[in-house]
Amino acid sequence: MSAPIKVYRARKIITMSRNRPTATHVALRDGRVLGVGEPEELARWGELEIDERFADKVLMPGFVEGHAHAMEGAVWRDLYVGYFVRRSPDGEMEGGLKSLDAVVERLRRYAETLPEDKPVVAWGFDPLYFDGRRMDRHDLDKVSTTRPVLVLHASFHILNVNSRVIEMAGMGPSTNVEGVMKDPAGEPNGELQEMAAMFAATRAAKVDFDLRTLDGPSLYRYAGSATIAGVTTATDLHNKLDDEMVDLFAEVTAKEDFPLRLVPALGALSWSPDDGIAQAKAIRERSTDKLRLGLVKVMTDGSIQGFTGRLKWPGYHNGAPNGIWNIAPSELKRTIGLYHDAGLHMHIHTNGDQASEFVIDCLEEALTTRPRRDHRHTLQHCQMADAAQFRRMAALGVCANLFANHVFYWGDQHYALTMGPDRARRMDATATALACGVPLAIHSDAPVTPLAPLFTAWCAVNRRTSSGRLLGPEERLTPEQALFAITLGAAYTLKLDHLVGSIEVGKFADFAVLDDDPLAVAPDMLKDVGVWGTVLGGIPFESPARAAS
Amino acid sequence: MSTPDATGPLPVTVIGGFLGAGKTTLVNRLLARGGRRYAVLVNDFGAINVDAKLVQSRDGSKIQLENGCICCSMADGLSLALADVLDASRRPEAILIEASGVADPWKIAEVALVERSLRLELVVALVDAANFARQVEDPLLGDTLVRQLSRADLILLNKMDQAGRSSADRARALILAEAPDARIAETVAAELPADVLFGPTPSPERREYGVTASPRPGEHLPQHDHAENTSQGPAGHDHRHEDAFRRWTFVSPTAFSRAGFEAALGGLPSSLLRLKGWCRFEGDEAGWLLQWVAGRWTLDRDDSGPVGTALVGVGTAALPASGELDALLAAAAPRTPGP
Repeated sequence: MSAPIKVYRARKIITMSRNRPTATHVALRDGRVLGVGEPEELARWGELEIDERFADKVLMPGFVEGHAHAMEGAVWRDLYVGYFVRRSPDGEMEGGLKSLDAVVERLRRYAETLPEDKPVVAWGFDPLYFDGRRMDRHDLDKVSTTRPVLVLHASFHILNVNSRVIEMAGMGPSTNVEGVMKDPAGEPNGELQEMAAMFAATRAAKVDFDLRTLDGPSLYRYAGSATIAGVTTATDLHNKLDDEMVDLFAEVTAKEDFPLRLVPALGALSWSPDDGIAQAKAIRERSTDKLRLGLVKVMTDGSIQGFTGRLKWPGYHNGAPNGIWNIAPSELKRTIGLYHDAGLHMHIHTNGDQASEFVIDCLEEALTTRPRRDHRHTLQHCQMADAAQFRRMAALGVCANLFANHVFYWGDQHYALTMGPDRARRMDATATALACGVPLAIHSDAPVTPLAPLFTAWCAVNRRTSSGRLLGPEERLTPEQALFAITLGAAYTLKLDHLVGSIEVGKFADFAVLDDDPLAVAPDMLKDVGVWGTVLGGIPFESPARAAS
Repeated sequence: MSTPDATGPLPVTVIGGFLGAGKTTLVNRLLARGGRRYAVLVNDFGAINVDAKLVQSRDGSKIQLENGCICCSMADGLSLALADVLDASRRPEAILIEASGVADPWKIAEVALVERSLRLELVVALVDAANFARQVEDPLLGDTLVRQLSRADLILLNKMDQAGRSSADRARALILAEAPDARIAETVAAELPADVLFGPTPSPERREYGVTASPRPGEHLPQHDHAENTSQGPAGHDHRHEDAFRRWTFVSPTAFSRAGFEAALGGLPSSLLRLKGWCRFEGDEAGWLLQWVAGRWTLDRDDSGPVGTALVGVGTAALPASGELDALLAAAAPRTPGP
């Protein structure tokens, strides 16, 4: 006689499936959904064991984060000092530091917890909201004058250091490099911008911000962040994925207590096309239920807020020069063509509208000369695409994963500086994408912004900037559309919609366990719906945030 | 096995320019040439094409050559590749970085200006003389191409064997419109005289002052006399790359006023690329070694030179006549005439 069938009873189950949009009971077997429905229907499978632990909860399909980075787990090794509150993978509330003094005070207390010989390292600093006041080395000298203090900005492209680091790096009045900012007296003021200056400082202070240091603990931290947010499937959307890294992913994801399905994407620019294609195909064979390999990431331009995105006319609103290409357009076209021909599935980073247009051109050429059904190539970020570009994407079967969180975090900056009011309104044009018939996902790009799909959905539904401005009301999604985008929509772009993204027979028993019904709360409360944790393959994982309290 | 200065800053040369301009040709030549143990950082590892006989070992991201050079992939980023080189048990004698076809080589060069274990030697940007004017018309690309030239120390109008005069002149005019002080030299197959790449080699031997001496020719230069501002190679021998550069030798027995000398260095013409040699200053027993590249210079104590001043310079074809250049430095000499 077989064991009874496990059934979770919930206040409400939102399945995201047309077959049975809502229910109260879901039956599991072998980590999969055996059935959704009334107990008497499910009992036809056999004896039921009804688990009441979620009786007052609302279950949704586990959220799918289609664009985030496992570096989210690595950055939390250091202190977060952002303006906005953010939950650490351990469930602690961090940041929310509303003045420079608050940042310094937090760093000072943190320094006391570290061994004397350790540098004090923090990340997520964003002076955008401090009325123009910048941090300098004197601020950080209040933390320590004897040990290195390094504070990485939210952009990851600027670093503030104390006098000790300046001294260790040997920077002085004669250091004439654009990225080494100076005070009025001509001395380095401790603000270092871009690779050259940051390289020298981190090297002198022996601090490694490097991605290469992804390890087991940081993957667990990443999974912790995911569980807190109700995410059961998450990408690591740019990774070299050499054999050593794949071994690490395979080892960690195989552990039963690892609460996340990982979808790493091979960074095409880390390989020659031939080698990258061979590697992507080889590792695809190593996929498991919790590790999905074979996806490929292609980079094109930079970011809008960093003024490195490639824009069409009329360019940056403040007159900044056009952004940068990561590789020459001709090489990009060749790379996209080769990966397409190899039958691989590409997610292509495009921020500016010149980049998205060029990639659409490349895909159109590839798909016209070498047609392929259901390729699901996806433009990632795709922040400035206009309606015409979305119409072409729809015609080509190209998906979009839009960076909805930008509206909140940088919307005011885009309005004032980067795009100007008119184009800022249609940044991350979620409603236009859907109206044009483009398969849609929305994302956080964690650790760039917090991993929290309900917040991402809130951004797409409300389009409020951090100052409260309503930016582009015409591009707002309905809550139903937004919830689709963080579940089945994202799963579709990953070609995993047959396995995750909805609660249906045969799919993984992956759930987000919520305190409230996101379709019943006021739309502006979507981000405030509590998350108990997740169920992955039938196993409950309580959020570290709940477990802590 | 020489490690001349295991702790001093490593000189860094950055090679930039768009695809097809000749960067890899230059890199491959330097790798094959040996003489200086380079660590060469490249984006396109696959394009590295050195004689198989030279290869000692090879894996996915490194090629070790018999001549001591090592070639490293930057596929994981410049920072990682650079850190690997600096942390290697056997440091190279110099670093050569081949920028990607769309990178601004100056942005890369800045790391050598700020990282204390590095010293910037030279930023060279190559241009496909035949196609540049057409390439800058491309709305996807034009601004990128101009940006990567704007701050280079030396721009090579390369592939002159394939470019007509008019397209080369158009390219030159376009470059000068963006960067009026650009040092532009015309080359074929990115062929450069050794003193342009590695610096001129002034002779420390005592000379008869007052007589302008010729610099010692660089090691792979034709062994004929490089009289200043001329290129009188034997007939029938292709010396086109020699036409592209002019040289200047300054020899004087007098000691300079240091302040005057430093001021004079600031007034040297932009067509001068390098100036190297020894000098003496009033009231200072020590000898000093000047290494001047494209306006960046260091003066280091060095008593291995002559008693007076002996400097050797190399510049583009636009370098003024020696007399004019001499006058710029002579202004820094004290009023009393030499012996």
